[in-house]
Amino acid sequence: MKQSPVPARRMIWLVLGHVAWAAGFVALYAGLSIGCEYGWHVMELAGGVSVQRAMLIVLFLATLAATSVIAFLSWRRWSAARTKTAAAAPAPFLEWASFISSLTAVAAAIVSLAPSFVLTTCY
Amino acid sequence: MNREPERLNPIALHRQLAAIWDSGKGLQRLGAVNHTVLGKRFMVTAFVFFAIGGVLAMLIRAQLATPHSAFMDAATYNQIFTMHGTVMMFLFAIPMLEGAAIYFLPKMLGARDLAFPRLTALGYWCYLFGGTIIIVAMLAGVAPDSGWFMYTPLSSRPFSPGVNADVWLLGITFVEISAVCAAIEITVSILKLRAPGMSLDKMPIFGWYMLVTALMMIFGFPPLILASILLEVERAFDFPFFDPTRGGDSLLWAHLFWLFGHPEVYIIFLPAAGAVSMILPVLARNPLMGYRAIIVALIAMAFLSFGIWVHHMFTLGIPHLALAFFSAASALVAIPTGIQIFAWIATLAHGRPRFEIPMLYIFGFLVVFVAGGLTGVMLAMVPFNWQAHDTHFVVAHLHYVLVGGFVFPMLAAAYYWLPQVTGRLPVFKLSIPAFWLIFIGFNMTFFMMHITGLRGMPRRVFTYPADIGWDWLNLLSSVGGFILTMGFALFVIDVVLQLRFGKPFRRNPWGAGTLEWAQPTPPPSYNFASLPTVDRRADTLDAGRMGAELAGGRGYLGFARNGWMETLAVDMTTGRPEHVVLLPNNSMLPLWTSLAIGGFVLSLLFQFYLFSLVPLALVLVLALSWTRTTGQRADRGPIPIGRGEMAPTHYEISGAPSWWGMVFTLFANGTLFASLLFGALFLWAVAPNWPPPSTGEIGLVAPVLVLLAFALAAGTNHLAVAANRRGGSPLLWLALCAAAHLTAVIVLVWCIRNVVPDPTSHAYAAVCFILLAYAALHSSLGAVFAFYGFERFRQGYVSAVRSLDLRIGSLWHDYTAGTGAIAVILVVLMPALVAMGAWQQ
Repeated sequence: MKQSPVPARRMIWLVLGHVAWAAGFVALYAGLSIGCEYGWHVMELAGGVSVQRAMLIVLFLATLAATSVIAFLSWRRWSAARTKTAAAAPAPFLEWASFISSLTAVAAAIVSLAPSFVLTTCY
Repeated sequence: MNREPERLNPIALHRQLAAIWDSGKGLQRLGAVNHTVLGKRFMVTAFVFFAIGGVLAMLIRAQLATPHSAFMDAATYNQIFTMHGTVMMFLFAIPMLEGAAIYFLPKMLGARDLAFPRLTALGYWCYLFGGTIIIVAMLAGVAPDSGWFMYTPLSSRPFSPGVNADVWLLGITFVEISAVCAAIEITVSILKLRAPGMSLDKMPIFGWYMLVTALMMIFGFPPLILASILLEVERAFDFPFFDPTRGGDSLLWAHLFWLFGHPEVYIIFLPAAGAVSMILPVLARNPLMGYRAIIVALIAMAFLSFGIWVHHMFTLGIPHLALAFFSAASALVAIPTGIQIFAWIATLAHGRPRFEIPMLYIFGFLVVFVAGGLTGVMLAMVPFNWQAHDTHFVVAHLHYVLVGGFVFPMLAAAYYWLPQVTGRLPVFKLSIPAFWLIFIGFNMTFFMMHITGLRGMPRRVFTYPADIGWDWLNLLSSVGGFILTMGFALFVIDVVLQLRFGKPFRRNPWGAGTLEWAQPTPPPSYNFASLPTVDRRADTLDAGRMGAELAGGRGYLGFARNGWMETLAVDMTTGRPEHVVLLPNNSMLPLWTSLAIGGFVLSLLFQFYLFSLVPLALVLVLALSWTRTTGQRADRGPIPIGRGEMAPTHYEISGAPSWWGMVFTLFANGTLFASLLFGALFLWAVAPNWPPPSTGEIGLVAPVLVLLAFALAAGTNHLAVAANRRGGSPLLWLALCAAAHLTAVIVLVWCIRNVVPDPTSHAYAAVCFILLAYAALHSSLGAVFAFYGFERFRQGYVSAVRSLDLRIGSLWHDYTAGTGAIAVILVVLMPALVAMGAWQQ
């Protein structure tokens, strides 16, 4: 049987950004809960920053980095697909949708997880 | 064999196909597996449950119409409101959307049926029997009474000692089997069983909506199934998962429930929105605007909806920063919802709308749903939520969202598609007064609840004092409720009149451009005499022209061959024809299997735990007997599919629907397992009364032995597949695979009996018990899979080309090895985690 010109695995890119967001979201929530339980918020790391806050910021930045990298790679794939005149349907659609979907994941990461920087953690 | 069958005239072709695909008469109908029959059964049954739920709502409104009402006592009221929520959510909304998807998807996608027709039938019977158990319990006065979300400890044995909570836990889990079956079936069908040429970007938008919904069900339902199992085990055997005095935590139930419960709202809304996205462009005479933007919005919505489960738990003592995460995500989800609403408005604005009856109900949907969405954003804000939590404001909000977002679109869909289902057009105009009664009655009922809620009236109280400003609002609500009911009664009368006196028509009365209107109406059992080719977006087709061509057999598979029920599977992305799927014919096995499952559920309900093994064994035997009519004993090679093309049967290719079915089954199972891991770690991190009195000493010998057995089982099955591919015999490897699984089971059972502390003593021990039991159960089934592969090869169903049975087994063995290893390693590490937790504190 001939290989598909648009393998099914390309569909994964539609959700990859959001999978990264969801993983970061769960990690932050779990980290926060565990930290609050074990008092990491009252353990100072340096310069008045608690272990809890540092951990949350690292997790937030990691989520942002992951979603951004996925968005960048999706953009490159989309750019390649739209310049290729003979790209088989639905490759251009899939790459466009993957790119926009990844962008929404970046936005979701910023809006939903940025409170890690400022809000009190365990009260 | 490999010559294309002779082309017949349309009438002869219809007769031959009908003889193969029809569901028979009389008692034979019980063995129907056809999606048209089962889709209608689902929808009619769901509507019956809707009527039951509606009567319960009337009882609630009768009770609350006046203060100090003596109509019902508190205990009865608890049963009534619990049953109202349970019936509407689990027995009406989800099955109705499943029924609509089961009925319409193959027609819209250009297929003859869904991927697993017998699974559809099994799902229907499980739904019917599960729902019946719950309703019978209500009639017997032992209905669930802890609220539709069954919070512990209220639903735990000490506070709900009767059988009421067990009815919910067992009955709903029975119904959930149906939902997960349907979700897997819908996912695989959308991805594989489309008309040739229908690439993903040409799929009708309802297909996208249902694909996203079905995937959400696959990942959303398992947490609830797990929670129900854990609570039932706690109630039956005293394993303290939710008992804080022994290391459990009620909050775990709330987490697991809402991990299901919030996505559930979108699972209900999205198919209805999909129906709107199909209907509105036709009546606006303009293709759907923003097709691609809607697809991205759906994906975003699906993920965000999972990330906001805690917004139902804002008052349960969760850290404020976490509340901020969930509050922000809850507000965010309004954006993809808004994108859809703007796409519909743009479609209307750029079209020439016809204000037909379905449009009236869409108008109702837009008004009511947008209002519900706005109160949803209000409730997403933590400070407001704390004020309004558990008041009638929330009741108003959820009804605006669910009735606005599901019932109004479904009524629009009913009026739009009834001609397709019945072959008749309405002759009376009862639909218009019905709409206004429903619209006015609904708003009168539920708008008042915003005010009573803001005035502090709590939910789930069976009475309230006079003279605090709630009485006249409640009276108006109750009057509105009865007006709403009159509207629904008029709707039912209207539908009956349409069925009885409706005007027959030929085809496509709305001038729609989708494939379900390219069929004769009412549709034949085989849907299309030949399968269409789609070369543009599948909502802009010329249904009239295509209908005549397809009926004449001028598409793919325009013939009847060997009495086979054939449909085409395509490449997932491009829609290129890939293989012929040979579907199983009518069978009573789904009915018998669901009866056996029902026997198992009832045995547990009546606490005949030992006896429950009998129906359980019967389920296994029946499940294995499903395979007796599938498979082929010889390699056929590619066969003609029409239009001069050839394709192999699904037994001879690598990505058959059943292989994908197992993949998605394992996704669902994996989500259940992940929820179990979450539960274990949650209890370790958060629950009170840790560390446990004893952690037991599992040592390293037994775990290493189990891990080796898992690795051996997975590895030997891969070797069996490889040997088979080379034309050799896989029997030795399969026997070794079964032996490895049985070894793992023996060691795991030994660990459970001898190493794990008494599981009733502490949640730690209960969690270890369940983790090991999960691994043992999967390994037992792994042995069955290995034995099954052995037998299939011996009987000639497996060859180097036909290796589907072995490859499906491989998926199971790999999954078992992976999850089993994680479970065992976690049990080994648990004492260290406990020690770490004790040190930290």
